[in-house]
Amino acid sequence: MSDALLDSLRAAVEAAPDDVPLRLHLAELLASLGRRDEAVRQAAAVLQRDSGNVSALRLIGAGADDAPDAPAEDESAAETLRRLDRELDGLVPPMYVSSGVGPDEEPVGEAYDPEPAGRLRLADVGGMEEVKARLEAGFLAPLRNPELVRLYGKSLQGGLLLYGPPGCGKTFIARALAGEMGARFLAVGLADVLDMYVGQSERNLRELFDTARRSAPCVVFLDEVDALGQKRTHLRNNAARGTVNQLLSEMDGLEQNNEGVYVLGATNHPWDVDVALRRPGRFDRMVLVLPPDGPAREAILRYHLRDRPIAGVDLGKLVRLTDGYSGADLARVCETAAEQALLDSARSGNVRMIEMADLEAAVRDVRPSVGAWLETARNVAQFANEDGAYDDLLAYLRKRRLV
Amino acid sequence: MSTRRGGAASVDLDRARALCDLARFDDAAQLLQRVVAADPQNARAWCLLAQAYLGGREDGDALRAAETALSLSPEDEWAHRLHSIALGKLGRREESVAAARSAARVAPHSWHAFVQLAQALVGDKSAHDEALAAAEQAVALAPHEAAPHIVLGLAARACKRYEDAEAAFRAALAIDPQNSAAHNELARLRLRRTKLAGATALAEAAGGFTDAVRANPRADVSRRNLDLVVRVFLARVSYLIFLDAYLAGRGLAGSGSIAARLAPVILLAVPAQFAWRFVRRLTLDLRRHVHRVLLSRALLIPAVLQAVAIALLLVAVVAPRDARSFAAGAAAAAAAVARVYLFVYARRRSRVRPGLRRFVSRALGRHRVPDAAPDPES
Repeated sequence: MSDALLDSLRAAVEAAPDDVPLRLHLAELLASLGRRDEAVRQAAAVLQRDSGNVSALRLIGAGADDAPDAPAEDESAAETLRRLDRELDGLVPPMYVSSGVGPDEEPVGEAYDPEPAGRLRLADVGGMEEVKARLEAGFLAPLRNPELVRLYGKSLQGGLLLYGPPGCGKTFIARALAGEMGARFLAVGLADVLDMYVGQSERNLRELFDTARRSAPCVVFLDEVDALGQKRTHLRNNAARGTVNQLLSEMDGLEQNNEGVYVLGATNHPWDVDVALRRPGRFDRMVLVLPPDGPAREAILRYHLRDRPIAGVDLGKLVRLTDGYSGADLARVCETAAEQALLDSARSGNVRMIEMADLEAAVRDVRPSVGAWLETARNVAQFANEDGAYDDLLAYLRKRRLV
Repeated sequence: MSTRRGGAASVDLDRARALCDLARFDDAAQLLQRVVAADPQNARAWCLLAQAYLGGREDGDALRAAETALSLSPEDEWAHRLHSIALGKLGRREESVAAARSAARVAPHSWHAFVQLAQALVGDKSAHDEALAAAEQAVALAPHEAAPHIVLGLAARACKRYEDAEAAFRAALAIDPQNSAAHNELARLRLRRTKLAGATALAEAAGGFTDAVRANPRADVSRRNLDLVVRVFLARVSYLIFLDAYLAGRGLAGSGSIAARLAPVILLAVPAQFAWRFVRRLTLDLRRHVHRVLLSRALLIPAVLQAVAIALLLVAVVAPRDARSFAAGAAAAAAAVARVYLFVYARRRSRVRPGLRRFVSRALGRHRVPDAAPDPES
């Protein structure tokens, strides 16, 4: 095909910029000639005028990937955005090399099927030095020195309760802790809890702990422990109360030896946990996991930006702007900025990088989600801290001038 | 096949109920949306969905779900009750009462229905006696539940039977000592009934609101009521200082005797004693809280104005004769400005345009105390 024909077509498109079939024809010709960048620009211009144009979407997919999946006819705008996000990611090289640290990874283990000891360590958790020091002193050091523990007549039993606002990496820390201990990891989530409610809850819980004992050393991680061990006075049905009683019994290890079974709990609402569960030998240690500090925020932002096309991002400034944001909030900031750049690219026809301005605008859009949690936490720290269990929380709130 | 599907739906309903019990209303609503999509004729699922929406404060959706449940099962007490609650939350009071009456009609032995009927009627000034009768019926049906006693207390208070109201709230607390709503309502009652210089009752009200927050840290209403107690305290101190300054000014104008000159200081003993009695009865954590609220940006201005008024009264004692009346007058003005500031602040916070009666009530130092948020449907 001659360049003259292409020039004529370009001139025709310029003369009639809203003629979608003509522009699409030009884009297809360009794609067939291997001029992918210009083809993508023309296809994006088509999308600007007809956002659901399947041929244009397919062309952009072909421009980004040699083996594109044909988009569904009824693809929603959100799906289109996500797909375009994936496709455009491949057009430019990533700015950062992956650190392999995912602060918000969800546990993938099945209940009753312990995962082998993972390779994740506390050192892989960015920042949060205070939390790591507390975990080391209160949990790991005694486990590494069992002779000393016996010498001082201390029990190795008892659990640790991680608490704090949602989306701040409690699950990730629990996994890192299990990796640090070289123990298998058995995660129980809310879905398992609800199965217990409608099934034979006590028996299920006994089986769970039996599995952990057989797999020792094993960390039993009870996510959202306020659901499993809610205050019995709040519960209306007897099955749920029975579950709490069984959990108390299993943690005490009255009938079986719990040697090598470590129970970790995580909750956003420790004040909803039955007080009996916080007595010695059960969840007798509590560690507050706060919104990520500066180094942790930097690590999280690097992680979420690692495979995205970014340019001129001032991470130091971004870290300062996101003080008080949870890990989940930071993920949303990156997602929002990527969406903005993507939409701009589709509208203008020029594929562009995610810039600092996009991220700053996203920070303005995404407000920290921990506000409601802090309101409740403030009430607890001020008026329900008789035993000093929430001294850490009170100190944090004072530091932020919230009390 | 249909039996298996029915069994799965039953399990999902159990799960959704458990999620509602655990206050995971969004998760419950998502699960129930799937259930009603698969089985749109399931009235129980629609009721649970309405309950989940109510818990998640999506009142419009709750109303639509309750209406669907009612269309499928017109004689279902629960559906009528949910309908009434949703209508009440949307401010459609008369319809809410009508729906509650329907609930009581189809289930005359359900204490839940009479609790809702009483709660709906309490908001209607012309139906307070009927609200009281409905609450008494609820208590008769379920004397060992806390909720009927609380609604009986609300109805008795609406009928100005304060002794009965207090007894009802105390009965609820005897059944459930951790009932946040009962603590809140009892404290509201105390706050309403405190006299101008009633420091003890004011401190007790503060303690009651603290107990409510302690029992339920999510009780924002009780937290706001606690802050309100501090504002009432400040308002009364302002009023007492104003009276002191007014009386001292008159005395200083009329006589130059030693007693007249010392009058401002002697009269200051009244607000000082009031403040001392109030603070002395507060627990340590409450004292810290009061201190923090007084130093907050919003209340710092009236606190400083009061300090200025006291300083002016002290100046009036030692000032030359001509300046004494002026100093006392300035003190009265500072105290009055502090009181007006608190009034304006309260009005802005409530975002309600008060009528003349409420205006007079507030000017006299009485404040509208926010209600405890009713629990979602059970």
